[in-house]
Amino acid sequence: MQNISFTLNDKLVKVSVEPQETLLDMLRERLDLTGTKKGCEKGDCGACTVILDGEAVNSCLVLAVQVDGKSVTTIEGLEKDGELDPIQQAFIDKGAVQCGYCIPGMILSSKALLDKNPSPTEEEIRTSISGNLCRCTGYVQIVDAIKSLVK
Amino acid sequence: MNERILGKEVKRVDARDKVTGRLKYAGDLRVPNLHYGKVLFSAYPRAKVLSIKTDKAAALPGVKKVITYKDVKGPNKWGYTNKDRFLLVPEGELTRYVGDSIAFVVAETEKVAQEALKLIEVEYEPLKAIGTTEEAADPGAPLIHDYASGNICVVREAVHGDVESAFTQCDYIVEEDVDIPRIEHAFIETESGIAYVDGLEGILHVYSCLQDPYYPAWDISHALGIPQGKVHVKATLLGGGFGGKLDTTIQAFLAAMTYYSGVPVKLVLTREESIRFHNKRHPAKIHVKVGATKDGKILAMHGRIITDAGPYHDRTAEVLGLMVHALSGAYHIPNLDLKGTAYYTNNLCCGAFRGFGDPQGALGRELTLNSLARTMGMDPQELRAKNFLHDENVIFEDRPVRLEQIKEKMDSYLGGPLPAPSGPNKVVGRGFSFDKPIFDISSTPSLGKSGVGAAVEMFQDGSVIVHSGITEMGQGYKTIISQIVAEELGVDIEEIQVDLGDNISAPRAGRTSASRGSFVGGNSVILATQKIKETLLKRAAIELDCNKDAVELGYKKIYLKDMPERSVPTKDIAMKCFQEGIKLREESWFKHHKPFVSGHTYTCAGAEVEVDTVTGEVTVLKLANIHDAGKVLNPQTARGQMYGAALQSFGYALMENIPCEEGFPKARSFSEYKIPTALDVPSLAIADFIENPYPLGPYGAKGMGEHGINGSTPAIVTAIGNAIGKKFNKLPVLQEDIVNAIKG
Amino acid sequence: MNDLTYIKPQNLQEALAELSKKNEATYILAGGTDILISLKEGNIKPQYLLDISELSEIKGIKQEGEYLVFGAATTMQSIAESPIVKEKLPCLVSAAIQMASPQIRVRATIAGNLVTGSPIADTVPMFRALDTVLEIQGTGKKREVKLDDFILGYRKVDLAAGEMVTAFKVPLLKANQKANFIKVGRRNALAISVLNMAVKLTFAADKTVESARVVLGGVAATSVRAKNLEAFLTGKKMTEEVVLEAGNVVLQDATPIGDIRATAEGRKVLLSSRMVRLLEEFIN
Repeated sequence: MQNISFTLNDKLVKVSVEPQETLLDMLRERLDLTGTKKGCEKGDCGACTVILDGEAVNSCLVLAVQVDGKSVTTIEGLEKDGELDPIQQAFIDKGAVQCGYCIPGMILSSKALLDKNPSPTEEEIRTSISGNLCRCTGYVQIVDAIKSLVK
Repeated sequence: MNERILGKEVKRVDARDKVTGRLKYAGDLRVPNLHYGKVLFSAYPRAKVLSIKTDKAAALPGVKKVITYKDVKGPNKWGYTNKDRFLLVPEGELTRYVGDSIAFVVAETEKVAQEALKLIEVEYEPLKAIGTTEEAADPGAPLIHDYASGNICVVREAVHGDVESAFTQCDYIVEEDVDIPRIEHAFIETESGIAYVDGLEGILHVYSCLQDPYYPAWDISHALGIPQGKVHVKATLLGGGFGGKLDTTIQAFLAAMTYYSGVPVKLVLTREESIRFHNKRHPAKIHVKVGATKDGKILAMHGRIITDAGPYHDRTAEVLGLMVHALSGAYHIPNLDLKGTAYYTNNLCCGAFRGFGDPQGALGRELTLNSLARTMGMDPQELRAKNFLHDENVIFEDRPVRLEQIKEKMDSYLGGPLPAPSGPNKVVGRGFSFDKPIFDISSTPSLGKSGVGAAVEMFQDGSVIVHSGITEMGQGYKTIISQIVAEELGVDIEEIQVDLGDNISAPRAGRTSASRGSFVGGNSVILATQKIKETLLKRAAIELDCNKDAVELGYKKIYLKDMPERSVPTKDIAMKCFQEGIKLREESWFKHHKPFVSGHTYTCAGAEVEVDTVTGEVTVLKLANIHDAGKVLNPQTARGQMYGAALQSFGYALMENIPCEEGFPKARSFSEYKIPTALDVPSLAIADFIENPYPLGPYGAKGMGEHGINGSTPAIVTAIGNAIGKKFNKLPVLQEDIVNAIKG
Repeated sequence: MNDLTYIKPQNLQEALAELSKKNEATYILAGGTDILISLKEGNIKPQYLLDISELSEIKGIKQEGEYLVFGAATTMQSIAESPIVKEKLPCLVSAAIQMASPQIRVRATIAGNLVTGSPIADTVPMFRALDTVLEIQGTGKKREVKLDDFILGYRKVDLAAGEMVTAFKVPLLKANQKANFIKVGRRNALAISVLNMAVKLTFAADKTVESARVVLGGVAATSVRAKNLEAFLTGKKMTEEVVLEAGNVVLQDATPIGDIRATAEGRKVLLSSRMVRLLEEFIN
């Protein structure tokens, strides 16, 4: 076991992890943050997307030990004092959610984009979520939701 | 009617939990002392299991129990229709596909369970697998099931009139062969769940992602030989279903794991396990011959379908029946000779998938009709208009909309001259297709599909709970039911709790499939709320000192019709009922009065594509669906259903395929099985509706969940063909196919 | 099961020292987008994982004379966003940005893409066509090898125990040179290439091709130089006819196999048609 400490949703946490444990498993199994979803465990679906130091990553392809000293944002970290992040609200308002299983990852990928680029083009929006598979929506209302936040 | 909530863009009631990650899907659940299960799947599609040795696996520290057929006390069989699959394949028996289960491991962690799997020693005698329907039909072929001679799973026919003599009166006859692949649901949440038993004699609880809690309870009870009343199956909110979670998936595995290990168990399939295990959409080889007079009247259709069911019966009879039915589609064709044959093979098992046979039938039909129109030199839409069903040749109560009405709406999106190509070596084209998708109206008296119940209770504070056996898999049922109850009982959506998919707390409702949820579930909930309303009105009349017929239920109050200012809050009446022992919980039973009746919608799909004539790359510029909805209960979720279905057809047309080679799937993971990404799908998707209230529907609504998928695939394929002046009869249409077609 | 040790050296020297003192069960972890899958599937059983993903000496892109030098642990995303690469070698941006997905590109490194020896790695054909030289280091030794020579066979590369790739030295394009890349996947993101191809042409003053480097991925056991096509193009003016003929000639350089992504025949059709598309841009 290895001890790590990192910033998780704006709070410093200390965790003991196995060296081969993925960030995804640590979040879900040790920290009970099950909003991060498991879909393929190989980076093929994006359901496990979290934001690591400002970048959207597949948490199934990052080792837990690698986030030592870094900052991780999961879907649970977006709501602040009962206030949804504007992206979460836009997803609700535009009907972007169906089964919802891809949605945490989808929201975090689009957040990583909008945090860096508040005025993305449609192409940039679609690229930003191109690593997040959705089988329900055809992405139509998801893209609408992200577009509605473009400054 | 002037509805307060129905027909409005009410936000999904489950959306907030979904965007915050709060919602617990089946794989997120936990109970004390939870152990983890793994399944040892068959290494071969067809092999004799000579011996199974579990000692080493059982001895691994952390392993609680290794379960084989020897542990199973019941009949050890499960499966839809025929109970034709082993829960655990016994020694001496044959495996039938790579999704058969040989052993289960229950361990303290998933990793230990995984390690233990590798220590189970299975000795197989591999046998040559039946890998094609041709091999299955060979008279010398071994039988996959002893009772199925010729490896025939099922034959479905639709015969009407005299096709042979009708063809002699035709001026034009064309024949086409259409080749459609097997495809995968690709829901993002794999099969998952937890199970535990309350004490030794208690109830077995299974919480899992599933589309029908009732049938898996039967499968569990049958396989393990325990009374059905002791089996509690509860559907969690699904991470996508699309038919792939319609029948029992891992629920019997979970039940056996917890029952024989004595500890609570979680089982979550990996993506690879999910793909090899669950049912797929049936592949089909379709031959259609169709004839018409020179003025465009279609007189006869002869159709033959061959499909590969895989090793088990499952839903094949129903799917194939619909596929055959769909060959004639939304057209009046007086003479029909249609036949479909499904063969057993050792390939992946096939079953329900959104559209349920209709997508394959629609492809066979629409592509052949295009060919007929081409041969006749007639506009394909004109040919369809001349043969479209109308009221007098519809035997059911569908009230079809006129083709012209659908077409007019379609033309407003995809009409006028074609846009200019975006550059050199680019061509554009359009394609249209018409379809008559089916939806279930709770009429078919087989396998518990007829009759749908619901229970509704109003509490003394005026809040309401609904128990419905229909499941929420993303389609928005929970929201629609909340809207209906809010409308019916004059309460706010926030005051309504909708409890779904529970085989014990909810009256039997059957499957959540066949685009039936809002229709049958909605109708049954309305029946229950009407009874509660009656009770409330009766009690309020006493309070208001008038006759029951003089009062009406409005928003949060019951008032005198003639003097609306005299009213009493509904919740006060609910409190009176509580205090006085008046029942405010009602059950209902919705069942169509005639057997074997289905509902249909009438739809048009249109696609506009650009094709690169050098590389064969296709860009779908627009994809539109016009849908005869009856009544749109929630425009936002309705559009969501249409977009989602239409864009699944995009993958079907252009990229998806899961071929099997001697029983082994060639696409095993999400890197090998590709579904469209946000960068592939058209940036302009259109969904619009025609509202022509359906007398049987809740508020006039028809079913719609599947209906965007059927016509969209032939529309895209046709548009590509039209762009380059060729035809495509084989899916998926790949870039190299287009380059080859252009070259000649 | 738990005998894996994770090591995160603080600098390159320390990394090389660790690499040399450990045994063959030491694996380098860079982006992790490939190796962590192998680890999960049990295809590799490392005792030590050496995380080099944050070693500043082998990250980043800088110009050194006539070369653009890429640290081996440079990610796909940094290439795609790099102003200097966009300006000097936009063809590499095109290769990097088409790889997998945003989440993968932000982790995956150019060396990781190379050392797995995959025949369909997305950036290898372009680096090869650009005549890239690799810098390889072990403790106390440093060598350079041409990328062409580094690839030995199917999933085999010229890397000894204790060595790691540290830099990619890519010659800048001269005024008379032009290069580009095409990837063919089954979808526009998250696609393992069906095949890919990269071209660099050097033109003589009379606009004839003085020399050609064409590299194909996904049509043989490794990425391969298309020698027949290179010979065909050399000395020719890039006309529409030449380009069309090139689409046929390139087939002599390919021995594709069939798999889930395409049949062997399908690959040939795609190779031919896409080579035409790629070379169209060179018509002058």
